[in-house]
Amino acid sequence: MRIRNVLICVLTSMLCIGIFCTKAADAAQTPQDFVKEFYDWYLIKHYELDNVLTEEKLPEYVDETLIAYLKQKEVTSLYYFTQMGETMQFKDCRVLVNKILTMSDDIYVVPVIFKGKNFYNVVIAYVKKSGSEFKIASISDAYPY
Amino acid sequence: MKKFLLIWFVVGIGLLQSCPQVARAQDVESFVQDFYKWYMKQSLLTDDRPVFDDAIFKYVCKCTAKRVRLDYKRVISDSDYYIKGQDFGKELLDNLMVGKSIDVDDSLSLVPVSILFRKEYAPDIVVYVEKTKGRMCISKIESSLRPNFRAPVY
Repeated sequence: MRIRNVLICVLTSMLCIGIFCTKAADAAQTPQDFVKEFYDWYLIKHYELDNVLTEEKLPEYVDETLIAYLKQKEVTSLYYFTQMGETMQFKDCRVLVNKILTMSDDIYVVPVIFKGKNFYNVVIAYVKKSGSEFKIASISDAYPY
Repeated sequence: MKKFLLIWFVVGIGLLQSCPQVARAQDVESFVQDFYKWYMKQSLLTDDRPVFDDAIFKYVCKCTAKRVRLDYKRVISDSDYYIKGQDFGKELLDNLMVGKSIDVDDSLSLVPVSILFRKEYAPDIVVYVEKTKGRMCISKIESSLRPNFRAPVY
């Protein structure tokens, strides 16, 4: 009888661990989720605002050092986060994020593909994790140096 | 018995499908490893970086290698473009580690590289490898620790 009770306790505990651990894992954001969320937000703002750098939600996604740099940088015809010039092509494109590299110092390299009708562009996002937060530290194009 | 054979058949097909992907990924990593071994061995032999050695075209895309040469001529940076550091020694060659690559798409792969003075895998170099017509070449190398503050270049 005692063994039966112990067995029931063990099995119930295992079931609880299985349910709650899965939920905890599901709740944790991955670098891919973060980058996808950023671009889903950014591509709307990109066409709505004159200057996204003054948008108050931007520091939730982008590292302060990078924002400060972009603010003092001379204006070019290239948008930093898309690494492209003025185009409407991003408006109706899909943002695809797949495999990533895990680097030292909690930095993740996340390739981002923008795919639309007759449109294809790739940027490489460098994402830094501090505590439980992700921040975009840098964006590169995929073209040769 | 029939069930047993069917299971082996399914497992066999699965293995056959995964093999080419593994082999291709391994190729990109070996290619990057070979480049760094060559680059660092040449640096040790000549006590200088082999940036102007034409053998570099075996590994680095022409446009990239040429732009790096121009940077050296114009003394744009103190640190070496390929190893992303100023100091060099045999320890870097001994401790070279290349991580698992990822394919961005059919024409571009990214490879993490760790080059440290201590024996540890802590990659901070991202090597961009272009693949065109079955040939590979390194098109760009970036440090994951330093943001891309480059101005667009035409």
